Amino acid sequence: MNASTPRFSLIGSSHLFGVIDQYVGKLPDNGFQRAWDTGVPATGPLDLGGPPGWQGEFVLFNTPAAGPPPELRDGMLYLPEQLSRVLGSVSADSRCVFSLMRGHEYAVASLVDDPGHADFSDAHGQSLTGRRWMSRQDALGWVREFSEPIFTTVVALRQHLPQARIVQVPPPPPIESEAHILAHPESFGALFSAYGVKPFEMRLRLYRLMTADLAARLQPYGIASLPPPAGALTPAGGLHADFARGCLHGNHEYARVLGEQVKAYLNTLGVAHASV
Amino acid sequence: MHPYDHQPPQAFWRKTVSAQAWGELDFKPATKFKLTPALKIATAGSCFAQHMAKRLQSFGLRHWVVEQPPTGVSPERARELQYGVFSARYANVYTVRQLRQLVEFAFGLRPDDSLVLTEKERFFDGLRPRIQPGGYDTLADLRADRAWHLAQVRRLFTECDVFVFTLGLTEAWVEQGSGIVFPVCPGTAAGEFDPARHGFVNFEYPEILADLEWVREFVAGVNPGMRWIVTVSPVPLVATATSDPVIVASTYSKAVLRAVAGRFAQVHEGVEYFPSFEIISSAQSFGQYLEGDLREVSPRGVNHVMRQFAGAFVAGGGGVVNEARVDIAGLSAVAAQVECEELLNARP
Repeated sequence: MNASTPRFSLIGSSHLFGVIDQYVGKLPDNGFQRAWDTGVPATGPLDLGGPPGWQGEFVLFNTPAAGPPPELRDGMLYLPEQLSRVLGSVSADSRCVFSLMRGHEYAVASLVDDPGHADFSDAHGQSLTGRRWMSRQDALGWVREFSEPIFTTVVALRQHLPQARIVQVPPPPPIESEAHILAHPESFGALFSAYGVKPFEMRLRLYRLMTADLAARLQPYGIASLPPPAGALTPAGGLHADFARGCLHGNHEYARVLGEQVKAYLNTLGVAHASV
Repeated sequence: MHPYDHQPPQAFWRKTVSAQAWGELDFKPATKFKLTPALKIATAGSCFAQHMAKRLQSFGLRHWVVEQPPTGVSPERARELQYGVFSARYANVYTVRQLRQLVEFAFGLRPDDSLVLTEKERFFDGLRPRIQPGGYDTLADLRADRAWHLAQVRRLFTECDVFVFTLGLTEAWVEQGSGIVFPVCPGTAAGEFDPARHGFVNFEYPEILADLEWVREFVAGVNPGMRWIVTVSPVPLVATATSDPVIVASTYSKAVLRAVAGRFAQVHEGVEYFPSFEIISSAQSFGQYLEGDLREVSPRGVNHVMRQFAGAFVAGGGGVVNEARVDIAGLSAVAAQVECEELLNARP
């Protein structure tokens, strides 16, 4: 790769699978398995087909191998060595890094219809009738609790690459089709059998609250956030089943529209930024 | 020979009250039933009832909290939202009429066009104005929370084994027309007082007893096995809306409630009376359990009440509270947290 060519990076774990399927294909030398087994991230070139003047790379890692999530206490960020090593796999000269790190916290908190969960109202609608209710303020407190690892991990990336533009890519929105989720339960099958799938409206409310709050909290750190790619969404704002992999992730089609978003974002920066 | 010859020692003043230390008197020598750990015990009533609710678990009993906080709410926040203070989030139920209308709302016998108070564009549930600190964002939020709460109350009365109810007040404020009674005077905890809309009532013995009988009969229809323990709060009124001095009004109120509770327990096999009021408020206690304001009950007084409660209702005494092991600082902190909206009546 030409040293003068500006570089962008996509770093993540399972949310990066679709991107690799769509744009990279099978990793050489059993790279995926090696990354999962050894904890050493798999890296390689990433060609989204543009934008002109940029060259891409991916950094795929196994989340547990990155250690516990960083903690932000009294303005100081404490992060584990393992995460430092993972972040060190991003090219130091990368000008723009898109973070697809973590996100499973949202899935764990929102997918199963845990009877202890409550609904709340937001600008898009009222809480569901017959549901345990909580205020938006308390819902935000809960969302912050489970989204804190996403927040601190992206801030750690910001700290690690102070010269780069950092962009948070949220996990895909909830899949609207409950039938699709039940047909692809992954490891949640027993829980779905016991408790069912949380109603889509509740999952979407949580998702919107989480992503809006994350974007607002990351913005003061100079970290931008992408909205979910419009082309993959149902009219209600959920993930269309055709763009889903399993019950949580986006597939290669999702990666395709996400790739278009990434390119569009890079285009807004222009090559001038890339040469800074 | 005369009837008194066959009476037990407890029936004689000189053998007991005159002869024994106050802390050694047995205020409840016999009960119609006992409490066991398997029973779902629900609580409601005035602020003194909060002490009962808090202590049940220390006797190995199960304070059944049917309305639990949502996932993600911290214990501190849950306490602020009054989860676990009573079995459901109805807050203090000072009057029997309040209890009756709670059951009526819960079982759909009254339309749920619940009273709403507004203040600075915030919405407050007129039936529990401090349940959501700062009020609700929207009327829809208030209604959603209320609907969930009433569903839990319905479940409570349908499934609980023993209902412990502390009668607190006879005085109340009602909405003219609907007759719905407020827990506290509008304008104190939230909203504004409107003399054309809000009326004062001092409930009398017949109507209080009738309300209590109505609740018992209705609940027996959905939960025939539910038993009751009724008690009267020894905490005097913080303020009266009558023309009487507060101590005179308070004495009237407590006397009426004590008479109602006694009658209610006397005529029903599944109802017990427990003498919290007598333990604290009898002149023979020399006011030893009163705090500096001569109104609040000290932690030591609460301990005495609960020791007697456990001795009476729990087989084997249920791990009676040992005063030597009491954590005063902890109890003080707990006491400071007792929610008592009635105090708002005395707010300047």
